[in-house]
Amino acid sequence: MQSELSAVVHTDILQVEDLSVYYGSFLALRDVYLSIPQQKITAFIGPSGCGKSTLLRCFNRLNDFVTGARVEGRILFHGMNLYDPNVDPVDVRRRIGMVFQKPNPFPKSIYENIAYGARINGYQGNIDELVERSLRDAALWDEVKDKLKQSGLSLSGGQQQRLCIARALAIEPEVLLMDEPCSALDPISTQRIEELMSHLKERYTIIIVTHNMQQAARTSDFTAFFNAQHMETGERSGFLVEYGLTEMIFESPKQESTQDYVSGRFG
Amino acid sequence: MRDSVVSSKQVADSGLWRPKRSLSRWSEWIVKIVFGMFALISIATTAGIIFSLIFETIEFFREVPMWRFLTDTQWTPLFTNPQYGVIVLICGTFLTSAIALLVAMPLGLMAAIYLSEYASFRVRRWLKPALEILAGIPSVVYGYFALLFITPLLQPLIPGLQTFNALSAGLILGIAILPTIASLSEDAIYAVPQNLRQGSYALGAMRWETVQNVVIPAALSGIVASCVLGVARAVGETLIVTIAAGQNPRLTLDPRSSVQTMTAFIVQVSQGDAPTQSLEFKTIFAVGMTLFGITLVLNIFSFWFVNRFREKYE
Repeated sequence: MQSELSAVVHTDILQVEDLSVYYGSFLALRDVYLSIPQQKITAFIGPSGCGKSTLLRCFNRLNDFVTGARVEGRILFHGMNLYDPNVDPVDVRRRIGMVFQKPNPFPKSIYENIAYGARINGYQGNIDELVERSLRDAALWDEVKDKLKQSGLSLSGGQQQRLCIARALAIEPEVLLMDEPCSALDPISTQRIEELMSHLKERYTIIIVTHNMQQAARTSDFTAFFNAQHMETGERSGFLVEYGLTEMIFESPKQESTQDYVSGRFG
Repeated sequence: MRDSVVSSKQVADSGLWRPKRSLSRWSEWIVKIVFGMFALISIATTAGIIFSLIFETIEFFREVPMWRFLTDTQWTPLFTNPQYGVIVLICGTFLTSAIALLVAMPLGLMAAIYLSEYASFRVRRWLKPALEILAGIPSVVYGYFALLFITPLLQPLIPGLQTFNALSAGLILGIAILPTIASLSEDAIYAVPQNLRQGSYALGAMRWETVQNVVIPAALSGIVASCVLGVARAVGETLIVTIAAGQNPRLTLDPRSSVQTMTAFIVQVSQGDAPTQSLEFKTIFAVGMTLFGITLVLNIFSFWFVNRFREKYE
C-alpha cells in the first residue's frame, strides 16, 4: 500500500505517525499512520464513533478544549510536530482552517464575519479587498455584495456554510478541514459546496469528513476508511482500516470491511 | 390468520378490558378545574393589588392635583404645609439604584464570564452556589452592614459623608443584586452554542478575543435582561435603603448626602400611625403606584429587548 501511494503522491503536507487519542481513560482512536498529500482532497469515511472527526480535530488542535483529551504520537506539518510543546496551538489554527458540521456564523454582519479572523491575526492589508476576495473564493460574493452589513444569520443554511468557508479562507490557511460540511444542507447547496471544493483544491489541501459515501467518491482524490472495534474493556475504539486512492477504496478495496461499508452493507 | 381470529374472540369474551371512561373523564375535569383555580389565584392576587393601588391613587389625586405631584420640588406630605413633589423620592431611588448598578453590572458580568468561560468544572461547581448564597442574606443584615460597617469605613476617606448616605446604601444594594445579574448573565453566556466558540478558536482566536467578539455579542440580550431585572430589584428593594440611606427627602444627586427613596417613604408612613382614610395614608398608594409603574416599564423594556435582539440558534 505504501509503495503504491508514493508512486502517485508528490508532497505530503501532513503526516500522522502512530497517533492515539484518549478521552480520559477511553481510547477513541488508536495507532493511526496516515499521510495527507498537498493540494488534494482527502476524505475520511466510516461509521459513527470510528474516530474520523476526532482525528480531524487533532490537525488544528481543537481537541485541546475537550477536558481530559490526550494525544499520543505525532502529527507532522511540513515536517514539524504539531504536538511539540513549543508549538502554539493558536498559530496552528491560523494555518489550518476549519469548517464545521453546522453552519456557525458569528452574530455579526456578513462583512464582520470575514474581517474578524483577519483582525485578530493582525492582517496588515486592505480588509475590504480581503472580504471581497474571500467571498468570491467561496462563491458567495454575487449573492451578498449588496448586503454586507446584514447579519450573517440572515442568510440561508447553504449561504451560511459558504460564509463559514469564506471566513476560514480569509486567514489564508494552507489546509482546510471540513467536518461533514454538507450534512445540514439540502442537495442543491451540497452540490454548490462540492463544486467549490474542486476549485479550492488548486490552492488548498482539503480534508473532509463525510458520512455520505457518494460525496467521498465524487469529490475526493484519496479516501481513508475508519472503523470501530470492541476492545477487551468493552469500549469501541476507532482505527484506520484502509487508505488509498479513492477509486481503489471504492472499486477494489483490500479489506473486506471496507468492501462491506462502501457497498452499503453496514454503517 | 385463524390464530388471530381466535385470539381476538378470546379477548372479547374474557372481559379483561373494561375501561371506565366516564370516571376518567370526571377526574380529568376535576383536575383541570382545581389546577386552573390555583393558576387563577396568582392572577387574582396581582389584579387585586393593582386595583387597590389604582383605587387609592385616584382617591389621592382627588385631594392633590396631579400637576403638583409631578412638578413640586419638595416632598413634605407630613408637614402642616405639605408639598407632594414625587420627583424627590424618584431621585433618591434613582441615585441608590444607579450606584448599585455601577457596582453590580461590572462585577456581575465579570463573575459570569469567569464562571462560564474560565472556571474549571470543579471551581464552577463551588463558586456558583456560593454566589447565589449572597441572594439568601436577609436584606436587613445588608442594611445594618452598610450603616454600621461601610459608612464608618468610608467616612475617613470621603469628606462630608453623612451617617445616612446614598453611597453606602447604593454600594451594598449593588452587592445584594449582584447574584441576580451574575447568575442570569451566566445562564445567557453558558447558553451560547459551543460550536460558535469553536468557530472562533478555529480562526486562531484567543479565549478573551472569543469572549469579547463572539460570546458576549451572542449573549447580549440575556445580559441586558439580567441587568434590567437587577435594576428592577434595586428600585423595589426597601430595607437596605431605609436603614442606610435615611429618611431625608431631598432633591440631590450628591451620593454623600442622606436621601429618601420611594420604598423608604412607604416604610416611614406605615410605621407611623396614619389613619386609614387620611391623606398621608393615600400618599403611600400614589407612591406605590409610581414604583409599580417604573418597574413595569423596566420589565416591558427587558421583554421587548430580549425578543428584539435575541440571536436564534437551534
